[in-house]
Amino acid sequence: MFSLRACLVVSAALLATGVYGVVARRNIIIVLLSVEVMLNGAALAFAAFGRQWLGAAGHAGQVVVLLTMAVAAAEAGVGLALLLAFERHRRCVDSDDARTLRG
Amino acid sequence: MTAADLSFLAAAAAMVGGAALAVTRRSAVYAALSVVVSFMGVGVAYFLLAAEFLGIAQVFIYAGAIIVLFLFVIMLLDLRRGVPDLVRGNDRPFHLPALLLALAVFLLAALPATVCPGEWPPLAPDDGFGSTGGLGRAVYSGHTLAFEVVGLVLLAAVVGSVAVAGARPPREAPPGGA
Repeated sequence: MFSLRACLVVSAALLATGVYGVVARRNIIIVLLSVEVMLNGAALAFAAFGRQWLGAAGHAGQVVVLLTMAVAAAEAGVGLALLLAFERHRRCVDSDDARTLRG
Repeated sequence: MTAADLSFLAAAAAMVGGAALAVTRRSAVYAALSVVVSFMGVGVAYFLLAAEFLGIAQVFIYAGAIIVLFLFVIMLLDLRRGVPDLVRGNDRPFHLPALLLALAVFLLAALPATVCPGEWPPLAPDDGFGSTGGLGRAVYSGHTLAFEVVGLVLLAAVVGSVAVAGARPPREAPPGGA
């Protein structure tokens, strides 16, 4: 039951949920949250493969997860900073209002 | 069904259920709090995968720091004015194509699972696999360059965030001249 197979299915489900959020939602905050969900799905797959292979290869998978966390933190910081600047400019957080890349 | 199976089922329900709640909530605050449930489930899964350090880091960094950052930004966005805009976040006509795309992504991503082994290899006792020491040795012996590059990325992100969010719009000249 609890196996690499099950972990990959759950990881794919997280990825698909994130894709749905990014595509269907217009609230930029929720789009950013969906990106975090997708990153978590990918990281879970890395950790599961690490458990399968063990040893140095397994640790390499866990190192990737660790670095993914750091990159996700950086991504959230920059994304939210851009969102703050955008909201200050346009007074809303709707991605439909960010289509033209013009003031 | 062993204890690990039951824990993984609960964690999987939290992961997928929390994520599904998060992408369907209208309020960004509820979405952020639902994502916490999902991230906690991922943390439990890391523990079950013999990655203790990752499980702790997941709870601290994701469920702690990143979500608190999101909540801070939601509070900064002046909800009294922001509520009508936040409520507009659900776009009904686009749900079906998005659901189909998500289904396609799920099937494509879950495809490799069909050829994967259904059993874990046994874990050697006192191996240090996934522990803080074991993972630390792996990071600092084999992956030093990646570690340094990520440090650089974080520094660039901090500087960029301050530069972007800290920039004030040009202030209008006060009436009567300055």
